[in-house]
Amino acid sequence: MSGSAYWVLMAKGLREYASLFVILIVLKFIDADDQHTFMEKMRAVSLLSAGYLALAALTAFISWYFKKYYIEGGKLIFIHGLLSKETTSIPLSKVQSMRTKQGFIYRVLEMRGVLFDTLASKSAEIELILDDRDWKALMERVEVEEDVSGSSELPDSSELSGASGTSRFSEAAEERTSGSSLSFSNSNLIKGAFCQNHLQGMAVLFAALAAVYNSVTTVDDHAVDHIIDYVDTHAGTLSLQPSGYVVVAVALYFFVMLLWIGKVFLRYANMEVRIARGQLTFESGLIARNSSRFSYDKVCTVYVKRNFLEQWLHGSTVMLRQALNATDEKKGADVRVYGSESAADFLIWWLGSSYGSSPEIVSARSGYGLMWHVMRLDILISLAAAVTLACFGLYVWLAVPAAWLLISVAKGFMAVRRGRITLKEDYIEIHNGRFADIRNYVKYSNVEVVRLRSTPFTPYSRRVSLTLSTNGTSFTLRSLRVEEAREIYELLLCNCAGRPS
Amino acid sequence: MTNRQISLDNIDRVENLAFVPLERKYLKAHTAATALSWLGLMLLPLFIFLADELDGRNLIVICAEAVLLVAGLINLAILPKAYAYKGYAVREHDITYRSGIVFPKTVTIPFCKVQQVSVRQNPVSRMFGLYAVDVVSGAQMLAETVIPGLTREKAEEIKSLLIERTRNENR
Repeated sequence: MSGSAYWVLMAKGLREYASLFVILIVLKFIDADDQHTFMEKMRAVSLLSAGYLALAALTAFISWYFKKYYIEGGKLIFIHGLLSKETTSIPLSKVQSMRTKQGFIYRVLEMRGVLFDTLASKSAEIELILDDRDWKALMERVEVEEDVSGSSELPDSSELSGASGTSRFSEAAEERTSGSSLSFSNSNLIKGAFCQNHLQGMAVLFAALAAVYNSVTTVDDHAVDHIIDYVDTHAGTLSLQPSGYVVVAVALYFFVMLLWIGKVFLRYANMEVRIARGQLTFESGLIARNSSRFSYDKVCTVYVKRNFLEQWLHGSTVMLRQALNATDEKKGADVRVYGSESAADFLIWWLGSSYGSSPEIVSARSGYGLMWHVMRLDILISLAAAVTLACFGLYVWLAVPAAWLLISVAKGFMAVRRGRITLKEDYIEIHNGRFADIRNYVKYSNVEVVRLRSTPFTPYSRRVSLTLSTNGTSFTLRSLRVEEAREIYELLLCNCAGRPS
Repeated sequence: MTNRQISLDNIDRVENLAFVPLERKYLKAHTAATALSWLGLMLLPLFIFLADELDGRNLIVICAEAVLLVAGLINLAILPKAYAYKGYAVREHDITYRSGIVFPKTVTIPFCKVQQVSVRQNPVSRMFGLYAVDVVSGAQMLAETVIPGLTREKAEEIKSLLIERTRNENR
């Protein structure tokens, strides 16, 4: 890796040991038994700082010097470790996705962290820190390998850093990556984030509060008690009129909404998508730029959602759901595009330009059993709330569980209206969603397992549940007619057995 | 790639398949395992005796044990029916396993999606000389399907068949 990579590793080392360093400094100053003068303490702090810098520099050097990679025989070979040297080989043709991250330090030094995934990877992912020249050279090699996978034309061995930009590789890569590019405006992104459930911002708020709580309790175990005591003492003067609570709730809602929109904006601003024949490359982020490049084969479902706001504002949420491996689950590697009418572009790339005209083979709709499934929790919550309110004699407040139940009835009714599976000649279309219209597109080759499940009511209702699972998603279609479900079951099996992935 | 129209009249549909029942000994093994599980559960309420200050401990323990006993007996009573329903069937391109009594379910795994096949035993099935075949696919849900209650020969036979068919289908 280049010299700049060393500084990125150094910054990482400084960050890693920062908490240890701060704790040591704080302990030095608050130690009551320590009789040293201020100057002596400052000298000790200087020594600690020097040790901190030396430790970060040494670990960065070891990490930088003993990390080597090269391409040999169509494999990326990565050697790392000081005492126990470890060699990892990744066949370039098996690289399912390549992700990059460019945090603040990376961008200052014009570097990027590159992460690889193979579909069946169970090992920890590998990060290479590359400059633009090496990154382009690596991309070209991977793209050429994808094109000429298995070909013996490739030279046996070549150092990546020294091999950047050979004309043959560049031409092949250019041919390979020639495709369309999509750019998404930031105004559309804000519009898309605004159309989502704003209460998702609560997760951002709680995460921030948890971080503050951790910091406060790290400094002083009794700090939280002091805050609680303070609030308890001043609670009387803070009491509000009922209208005041409404204002606070509205303000909190707007704050949470802004948090949510801000989070989406930071993560997905200036999004660019490059669609090539077998690969899709996403890049987005306002401060830290993240990219994800994955192969056609890794996508297992294209999800398109339109709620009433999105329909009104002519937008949609598109999600490309990927086959999961050991590391994806933690990070949520699915790619989301908010607010743009771009579903057709992704579907054409994934299903082919004629996907819209693919003839329908068979379809089945969910019955009212689905309504019960959707409402079951709401019924229990409403009943429990109604009983509790009645016990306390708060009869006026019974309107709240009644309204909740009414919303639930509407939700269940909409779910029944939307629940449908359609088998087309080339793909499967699964409609679900409640208030939002959600369409999931799945290819037959992605179907891994199919299950048909009856209930104790099946002999009377003649309805069953059908589950189909891909390697990244699963769908359960409830309350389908037995005959239709069985026919779909057989057709799914025939089609997926006939089209191995 | 060929893409001929499929006629469902010409294939053996899953609901018409003759499912191979599990070994008779499996009912005994399953009964023993279920009885052991309920006995284990019945030990838990006995910890209430450790709470010295709790009034009416005896009554609480007797009630809890009675409820667990009734539930266990009902469970044991329906096991023969559940056993009779369980079975597997192999077609040209897939394997199907049927199970469940309150919620009967049928799971089918195409051979081309099978990623791993293994034969295993647990302590109870070892006592009865029974084996289970574990079929693993890459699915996010239902990734593992277990066909229990097989003799060693039958389990090895199914394993070999699955491995061979999987190899042929992926060729």
